[in-house]
Amino acid sequence: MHATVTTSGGSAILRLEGRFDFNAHREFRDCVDKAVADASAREIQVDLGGVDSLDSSALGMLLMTRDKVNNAGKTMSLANVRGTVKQIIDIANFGKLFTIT
Amino acid sequence: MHILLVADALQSRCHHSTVFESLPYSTSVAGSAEAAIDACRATPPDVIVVFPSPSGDGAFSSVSSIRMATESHQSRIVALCPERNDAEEAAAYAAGADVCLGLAPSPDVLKACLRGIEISLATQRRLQAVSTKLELMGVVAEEERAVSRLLLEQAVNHDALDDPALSLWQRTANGTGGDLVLACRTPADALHLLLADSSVEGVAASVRMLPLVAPFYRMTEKGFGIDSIARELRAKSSSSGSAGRRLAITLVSLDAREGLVTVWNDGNPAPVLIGKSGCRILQSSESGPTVTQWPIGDDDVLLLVSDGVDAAKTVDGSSPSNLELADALAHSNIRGRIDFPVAMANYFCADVVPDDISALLADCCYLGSVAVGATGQSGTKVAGSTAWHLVLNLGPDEVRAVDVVPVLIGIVEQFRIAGALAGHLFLVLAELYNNALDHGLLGLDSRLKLTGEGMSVYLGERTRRLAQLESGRIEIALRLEEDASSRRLYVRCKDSGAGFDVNAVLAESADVSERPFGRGLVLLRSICHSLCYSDHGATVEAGLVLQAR
Repeated sequence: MHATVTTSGGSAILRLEGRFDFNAHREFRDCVDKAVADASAREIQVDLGGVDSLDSSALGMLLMTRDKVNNAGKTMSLANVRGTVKQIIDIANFGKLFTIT
Repeated sequence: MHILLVADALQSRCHHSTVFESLPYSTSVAGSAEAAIDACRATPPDVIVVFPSPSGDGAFSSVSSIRMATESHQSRIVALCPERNDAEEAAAYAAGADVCLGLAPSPDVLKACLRGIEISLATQRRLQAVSTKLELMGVVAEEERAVSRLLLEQAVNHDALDDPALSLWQRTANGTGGDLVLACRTPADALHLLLADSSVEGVAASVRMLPLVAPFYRMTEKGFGIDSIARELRAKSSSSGSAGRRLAITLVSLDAREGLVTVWNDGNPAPVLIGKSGCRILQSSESGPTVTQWPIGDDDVLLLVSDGVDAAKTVDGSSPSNLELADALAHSNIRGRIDFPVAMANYFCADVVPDDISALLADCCYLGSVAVGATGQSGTKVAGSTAWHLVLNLGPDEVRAVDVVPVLIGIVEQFRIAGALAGHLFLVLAELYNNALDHGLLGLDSRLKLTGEGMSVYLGERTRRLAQLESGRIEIALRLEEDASSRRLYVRCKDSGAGFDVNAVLAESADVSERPFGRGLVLLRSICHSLCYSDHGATVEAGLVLQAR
């Protein structure tokens, strides 16, 4: 998986592309840490539009990321959730745990 | 025969060497005990004749020292006694002499004595040769047994015999094992069993049975029926064995999904179906081996035995038939892989059996274990034909070296079947395989993820355990089936771990809340059209409908 982070207008956007599973942990974590460390970013948005598949380990990583982000006094949302990713997110009831845009 | 004379005095040497030289033996002379010992070390004589020392000190000290030095040579020592009384003779024998003669024995006595020694030595040597030959034969026989064991060991798929539906018990009569037991599943998951009994032993048995192995596995894996396999095996066994020495072969197909057992038996005791209503011999009334089919019910188990059972004794001294054995097992309520071998070991007497015994117990309800379906249906109904079937069997080296999920997805994509369901396929493969590896082989606890940097801790521990993994296997199989109504992909994953409590995990997943783990089973149940766990959770088969037609 490929992960990038950009900051704009107080939001850090993590764009993910490819398969999102435990193999992507290090790259994902590095981007998250970078976004969390950015003092100008009050919100962190994880853009899942480029993710073609994910498994339960990815869901776990999203939850742990949410805790880390909240502990840093920031908010987190999921964006561009569609297709199979949306189906999995819905099954996992993530709508109750995340703001999904 | 060679004689060594040990004489100190010149006179003794001359006189007796002349006497000895008239006898039909080769002789040599040593002037002292030390010289005699040196001569013995160089060329061990058959007989050592020791003259008394003229100095008189320690009359038989020479005999004693020569005996000690030549103990391993098996030379006979003849001591010449000056006085020839009881005390002298006793002293001579105590010193190590084999024979005691007077100082100047008559030529006839000397000749007779030496002749007796010659005969005794010849007999001893013949016995030694026979003993060596017998020892060599024993070594050869042991090597032959080892070769025959190795031949069959390498041919037999032991993982297939480790099927959770099976329990096997065997006793060999002489360490060689003349019985062959094979198991294999068809693409439609029917369990094929083969029990072959050779009337010969050792390498000959292995040679006769080896031709059966490859056709059995190959034809089963391609989905051939019992009748076709039986024809092939009988043709192979007839061509490999001598006339009149037929192999006894039993072939069984156990189809738990269809509720049928198909039997072909030629020469072995008939299989017995053990159920709630009693024991039933599965044997055709027709003469000659034919393929017969029988319904199986809930909780039925199938017993196959070789004819070694007929010759064996139970602990109460009786010789049971296969039906009597089945009846005893039924009354003992034997089920499962642990009970059966223990029960068999306790049922038959002692460790020595007159003929090899093989007994195989097959659980007809193997697929009746935990089954979770997205639609609430239990189990998986297989209909239609198998388009293709792929199996990967992975050990420690393979799971370290290969990123299996992308490989399997790549293969499936070659067939252009996943389409819009590629994401679902990834989820199924990832969940099944990663659970098998992480929890089945590596024994990881998902609760490691609960710490601050939980995922990093978990993955670090995963990496460490994976590097140290030395045993364990994962078998992952993909099977595409299609019929008029749909195409379905089945993913079956089996690991060698202890399994888990599927129902408990399902119950927990209803309240996963915000835990970073525990959702996998819920996801699978939601997207798969069938999900079957068995073998205490160590085996799972998930079905995905790829295309409804």
